Amino acid sequence: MAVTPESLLQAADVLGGGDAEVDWRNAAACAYYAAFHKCVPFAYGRSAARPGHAELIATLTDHRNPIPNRQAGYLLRQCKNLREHANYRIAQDFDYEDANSALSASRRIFGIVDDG
Amino acid sequence: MPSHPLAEAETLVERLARISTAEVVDEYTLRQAEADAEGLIRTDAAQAHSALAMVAALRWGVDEMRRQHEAGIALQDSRPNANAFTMVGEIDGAYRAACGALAKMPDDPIAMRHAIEAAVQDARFRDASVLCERWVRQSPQEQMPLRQSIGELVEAVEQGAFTEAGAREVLRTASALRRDARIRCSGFSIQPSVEDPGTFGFNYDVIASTEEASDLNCALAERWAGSPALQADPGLAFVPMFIGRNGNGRHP
Repeated sequence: MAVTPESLLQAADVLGGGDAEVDWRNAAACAYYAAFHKCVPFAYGRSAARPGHAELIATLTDHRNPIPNRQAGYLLRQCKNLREHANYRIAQDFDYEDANSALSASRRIFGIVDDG
Repeated sequence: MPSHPLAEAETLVERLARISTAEVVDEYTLRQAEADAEGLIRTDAAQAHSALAMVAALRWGVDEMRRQHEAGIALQDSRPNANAFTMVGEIDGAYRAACGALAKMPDDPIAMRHAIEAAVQDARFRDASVLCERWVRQSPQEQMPLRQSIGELVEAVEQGAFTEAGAREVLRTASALRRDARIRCSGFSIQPSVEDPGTFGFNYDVIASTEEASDLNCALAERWAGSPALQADPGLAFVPMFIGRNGNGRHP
């Protein structure tokens, strides 16, 4: 069994529709990983690259890249920041809107990659 | 009878604060506040101009907001109000107004808090840190929630992770985009990264839907991607983001 970035985004959508904070935190994490995996071939072509998070963002936002790549990198960084909040700062509130912001950023990244 | 005008003014300030954070700015309520502010001109002109600056800001009338602010600070007992500048995304003006207010009321904790917040929002982290130390000396029993994050921001700047000038450029761009979209901001938070020490998220809570906030984020990302000035700090170590808070944290 394997999953695609699209199926991760779908799962994030389902979690984001939940009514508990733990669902929203998981939705943000899932939305980020969906975008992360969507961006790997976008950044590296069809090679079997296995970048870390910071490396992928740095590759996308390289100043020699076209604007859509850099834009996707910026949005991925925003999405990652929300995922960190969801995963690490469990003593701070993480709201429905935070989850939906991560989902929205992820969808935008999918749009940029699919258009590119 | 100096206490009466002051009490009246404080009530007006509180009302304007409530209007500014409501989901929708009710023009009728705003007009009532405007009429009350105009009525205050005879008894407390400085506070009246400050309130009228906020009324203008709530209508996105930047020129009128500035005019009211200037009229207010020309008075001897002026109380500069940074909130009107913050509302319309003029974060440098907000910092200057907050510093002006603090100079007039150096022991006032509210003026001090406004100055610290305005300094952070204009990426003047060292200045904010100095103000935090002053806060601790003046109010040792009071918590300043931003203090730790400000300390981490200063440390990151000193270690060369990014520059204040670079962060300021990005924050000013974000604020200008928000103003152009006529979206109000209700607060901000600093999110130091756990996985990448020395990098930060800077989240603006905005009174907007998730989609409207997402449009702002996309516009900011596009502006950042297309501008060499905004990429002065290429490591993306300081990244603002808008979070739409129309749902007030609740599931719809």
